[in-house]
Amino acid sequence: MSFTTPYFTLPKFTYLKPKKLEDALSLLRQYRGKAKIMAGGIMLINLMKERKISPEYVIDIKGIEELKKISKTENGIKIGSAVTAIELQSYQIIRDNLPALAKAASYMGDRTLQHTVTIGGNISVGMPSTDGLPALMSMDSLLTIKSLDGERTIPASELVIGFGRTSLKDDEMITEIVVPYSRGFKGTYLKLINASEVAIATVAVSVLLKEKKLTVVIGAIAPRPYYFDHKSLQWNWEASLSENIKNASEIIGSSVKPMSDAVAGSEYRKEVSKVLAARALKEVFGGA
Amino acid sequence: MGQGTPTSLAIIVAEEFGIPLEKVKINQLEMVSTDTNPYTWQTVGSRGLFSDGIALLRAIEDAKDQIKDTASRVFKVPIDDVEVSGGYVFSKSHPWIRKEIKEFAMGYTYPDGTTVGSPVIGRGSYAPVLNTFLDASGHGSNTVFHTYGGTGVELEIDLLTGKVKVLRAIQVYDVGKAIDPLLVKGQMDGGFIMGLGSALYEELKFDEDGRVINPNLINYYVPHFEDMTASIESYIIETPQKDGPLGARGVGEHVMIGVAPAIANAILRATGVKINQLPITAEKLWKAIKEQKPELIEKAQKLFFEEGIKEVQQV
Repeated sequence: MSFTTPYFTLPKFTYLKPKKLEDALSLLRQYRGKAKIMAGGIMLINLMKERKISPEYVIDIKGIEELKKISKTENGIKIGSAVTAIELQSYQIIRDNLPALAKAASYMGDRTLQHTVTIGGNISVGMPSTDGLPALMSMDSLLTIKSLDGERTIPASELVIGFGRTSLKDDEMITEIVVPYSRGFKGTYLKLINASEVAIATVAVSVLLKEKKLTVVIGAIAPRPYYFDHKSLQWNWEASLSENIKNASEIIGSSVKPMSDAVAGSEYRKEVSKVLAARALKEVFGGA
Repeated sequence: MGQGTPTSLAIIVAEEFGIPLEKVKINQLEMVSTDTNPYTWQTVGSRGLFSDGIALLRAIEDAKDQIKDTASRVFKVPIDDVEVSGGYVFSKSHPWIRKEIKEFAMGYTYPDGTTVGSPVIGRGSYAPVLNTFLDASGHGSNTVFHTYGGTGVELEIDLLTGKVKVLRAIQVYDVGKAIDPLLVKGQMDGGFIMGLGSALYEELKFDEDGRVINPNLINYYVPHFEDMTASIESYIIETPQKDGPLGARGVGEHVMIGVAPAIANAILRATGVKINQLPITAEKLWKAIKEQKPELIEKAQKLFFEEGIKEVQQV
């Protein structure tokens, strides 16, 4: 067996590790189309091993300090794109205010990999299996995207445009995630995996009780996550909890059109989405 | 390689010579080096300790013969009268005539410097004999030993998703002789986890052209820490294998064989749902429950909505 065999080795590439964001953006522009950003490298390394992509340059952004910050401001909570899954679970700001994200982070790879997985990397590959995106979407998060030309902001829900495809241009990168609420959410995140690390279905639920705002996002079952809010779920804040949950679960079941692949079939994914959504809603409203 | 065979071999040497275990050195790297070692079939059949152990006992016998030959000349007794055990070389008929084994290791040296005998290098080998192919009816003797045992599990089934969690396992195996009981239990625990993987998760998938579509550990799932069975109890029975080293037989892979049937039987007992194909993935079990016992799913749904949700103030 030769040492260039896919699955065992990486193709040849040049490794670059800028210390400043501007340098990373210049490199991205300079090697436009030939370079890939690496943060945790979880997806990138696998895709390269399987020869699905073979970038000539790999730009490691883990040396850029400003991408690793978490802060709380009047306008919401800001999370740098190179913040790791372990940090998302351990920072009090995230655990108290964005529980769906903290919980989703606990599902990003195994415990060891979570020291390496970053929120930016997790969402920007554009794969359905991302844990971060449903959680961020459930809190109407915004993504700050930068290139040498400047900055733009998009809702998290507009990031993924197809299977493994995002609206990021090849000289752009996500630098920050903004959750535009100063008050804390209640929320949770559930995931079902079985014979693969890739999820059969995921569900993120986030609630702002005072504002009577409820969001349920179903991930992993289609190229793009499904977004439901209290309106589309016909949530009646006056009705009984079990009635609301039953109704919401039915609406989700009749709205989603899951894909069939090597991980799970469409019919099963639909059923699991309903079950996980019902369980997540029950957990969030404390109806145990 | 990693199963603890060298430790067990060292224990055999220490016991046979009656010397402390720390005096026995096994060069583990040398043991598995294909540069310096001859070919020895495949790594199969949990035969490491069995084969190496018998070869080792033969090498020990050879070494003892060399020591006895030298000692019979030093002691001036017939060679049949010399025994090597308990750390000593001695005359059986005159047991007070004895010397420590180490005095013979490089041949015996008299106080005046004259020597008898030569350095002791014992040699031994083992190859199975009397094995046959199986005949058309499946009869024959195609293995040198049979290790018997049983596995029991206690598990939880999520009826709404089909996901199985094994909570407790008990396994009992007759290993002939546990040369190092702790290592045997380690092998049994490890064998169970390996069995858990093949029972519930592991499956190679292919596309139409025969290419493997799950060639890495992201999509070829092996048990993770959170999948581990919280309580695995492993018990050893010892009915000696007469031709095995000190009565031992192999116990590496045997343990995993019982796991899948135990899990499938536990599912059958709990739900009445039969599954005859591995791995028992969540989707496969969910489909089977839906086909064979749909009333269980209805019941679980009813329980969830009607009894499982406590009404609370939502806002």
